[in-house]
Amino acid sequence: MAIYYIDLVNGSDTNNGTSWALAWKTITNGATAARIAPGDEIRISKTPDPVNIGNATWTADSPTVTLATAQTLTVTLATASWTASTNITCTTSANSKVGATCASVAFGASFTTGKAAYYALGGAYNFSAYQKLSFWIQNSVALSANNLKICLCSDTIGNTIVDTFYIPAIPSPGRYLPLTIAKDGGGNLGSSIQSIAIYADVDPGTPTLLLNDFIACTTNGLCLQALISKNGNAQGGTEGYFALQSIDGTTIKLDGDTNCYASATWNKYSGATETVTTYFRHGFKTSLAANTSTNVNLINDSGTSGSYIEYQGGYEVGTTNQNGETFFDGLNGNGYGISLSSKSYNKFNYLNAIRYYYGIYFNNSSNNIITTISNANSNASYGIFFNSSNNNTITTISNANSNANYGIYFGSSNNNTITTISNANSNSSSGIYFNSSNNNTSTTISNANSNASYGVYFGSSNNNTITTISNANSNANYGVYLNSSNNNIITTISNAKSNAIYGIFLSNSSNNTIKVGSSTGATGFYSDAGINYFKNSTFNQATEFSSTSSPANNWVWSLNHDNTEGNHWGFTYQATVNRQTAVVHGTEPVAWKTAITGSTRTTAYPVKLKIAEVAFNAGSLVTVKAWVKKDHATNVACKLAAYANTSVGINTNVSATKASDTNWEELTITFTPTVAGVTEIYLESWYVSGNSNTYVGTITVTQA
Amino acid sequence: MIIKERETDMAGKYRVLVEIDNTKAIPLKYNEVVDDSVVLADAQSVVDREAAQAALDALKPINFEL
Repeated sequence: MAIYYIDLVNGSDTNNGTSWALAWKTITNGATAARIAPGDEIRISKTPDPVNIGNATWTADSPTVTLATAQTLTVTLATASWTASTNITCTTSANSKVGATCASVAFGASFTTGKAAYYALGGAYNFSAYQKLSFWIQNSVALSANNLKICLCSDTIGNTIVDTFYIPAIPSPGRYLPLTIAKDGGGNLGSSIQSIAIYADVDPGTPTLLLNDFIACTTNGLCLQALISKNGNAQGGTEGYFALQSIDGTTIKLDGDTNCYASATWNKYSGATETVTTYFRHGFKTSLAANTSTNVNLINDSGTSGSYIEYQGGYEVGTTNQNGETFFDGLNGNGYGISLSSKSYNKFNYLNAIRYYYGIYFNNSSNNIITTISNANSNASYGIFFNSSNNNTITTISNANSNANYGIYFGSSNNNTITTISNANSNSSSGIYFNSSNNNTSTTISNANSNASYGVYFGSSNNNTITTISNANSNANYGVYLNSSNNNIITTISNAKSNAIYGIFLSNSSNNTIKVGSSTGATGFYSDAGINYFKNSTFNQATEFSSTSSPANNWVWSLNHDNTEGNHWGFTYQATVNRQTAVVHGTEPVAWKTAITGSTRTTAYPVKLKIAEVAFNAGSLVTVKAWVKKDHATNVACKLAAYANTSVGINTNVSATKASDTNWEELTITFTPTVAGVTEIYLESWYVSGNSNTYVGTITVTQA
Repeated sequence: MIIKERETDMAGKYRVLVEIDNTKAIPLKYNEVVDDSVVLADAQSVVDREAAQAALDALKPINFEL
């Protein structure tokens, strides 16, 4: 076993990696398969610890964080059109990061060099307390380094340049990225700035640039590239670090991915509303990825079952102290932050991936261990992505938030073991998505809240077990969604509250068992097909259940409904069944009530309530009797029925129909099975001419 | 739209069946007895939601298999 070192700032991939002094610079080109082996540990330098920026007010389900004290000074939000030079077209675009529109500057083919456009600030402003300019830029074509520059000018028409900021190479068309640039030559910014301008020193071709939110910031202070949080821990903590969509004085808005525009509604903070000490930290800005599938940090080798290769982030350079975290920041929403393809037996700890396409990417990679991933946020597709990756062990994922698709995604990935997911919130689709993924086990999902579709989504995924989902709240569609997914167990969902449509949505799914501690919001649960079970669950909605248009074999059985012993309910399309004491036969303690609530449940689609499974010997008469009643003589009908069951020699349906009255009546059916076995007995109830109820009390079964 | 049944279930919840018409009724549940106006307003909101959902469902096939 060897220990290798990666110093993200001062390392060199030509070193041998054997000490901090000889550290590599990158995982991809330093920790190559030729250099490392099973059992090795790669220690990665930490990125800067959190910086306290005083109090700020965070608001649940809002993107706005309001600082007590501004850390920056706005130059211009650039929400209006700039003034164009010849062969330049200046307009506005609705694809803005702040405000309703942003400035758009289109370079015509005939433009060569010089001032392209400017914007008068409306006065003379002093930025001399600041050293850098931070702003959003989106380019329609790749830009070469230093062809273009932003200038702060002392006149009102962008002619008298005071401060110059060269735009670096940007290889990623169509992606916003936040730039923070020190003024050319260093030093403080100008003290009397009246306009901002963009110049070309070299003919840039014909790019169109979207420009937004120019702010002056200090050398090491808050800027658009920073991440903010309530979490002041250098290492660990469950509060996530959020990318910033905009800064305007004391008003900060949290971002989704970098192309999450100001008009979006899914970028938000989902935790507690409070005014608390707030921190920012910076990640290590990796080389800008040109494409969505660029491998930014590529894992090159596999370990073995007894000798993992460990990637340990958060190390203090020059020491053996693992006292921080390593944040990789892609800035533009492209690339795979940490990428494994067909790699096994690797272990990851204290690594974070922000603003990539996939933050952490596992493809066909099994038997790996994630000890702690603290943040996989604001990625343009998935925070953490498992595809065809099995038998991985995940101890802690603290945050997979604000990603433009899913927070954590398992696709065709089986037998993975997850101990804790603290937050999978505010993603533009779902917090956690199991897609065709089976036999996975999760102990605790603390929060899957405020996602733009679903908190936790099972699609064609079976036999998964989640012990606890503490909160699946305030999602724009459903708290938990099972679609064509069977035999899953969620031992406890403590809260499925304030979801906009359903707390629990069951579609074409069967034999799932769920306990819901408390549910609020529009409708408690939905089912359209299949038989599923709630146990000891509480639904606080006036409308507990909904089902649309399908009287298929569709039941949700809620045992000890509303967490009340013996209060058993069945819910199906246009009918309910419950165990009740108000209407009973004679002195019997309870009866089962079937309420027909819609005309679809005619004799063609009766409500079939299984009331017994009868075991018998072959060759002698079986007699089944049941006391039944109706609340209306003719609006509804019911019958006692045993269906043909050729496996035991019952070759035709046997039934007895309740008379057209409201009396209790003992119905009797008989059959003679030719084979010893078991068959089911039903009370069928159906709509005739109005909504009403049927009841079934004592059942007796005898065999001659 | 009329309130057709009122009862208290085994969990002590106030349950109301609101009949929209002869072909459809909506069951509603409350933690305590509430005014009929609340019940009827809730029933109307269900009707409105279901109408919106039905419009969406019209775009996909219906499963009537038993």
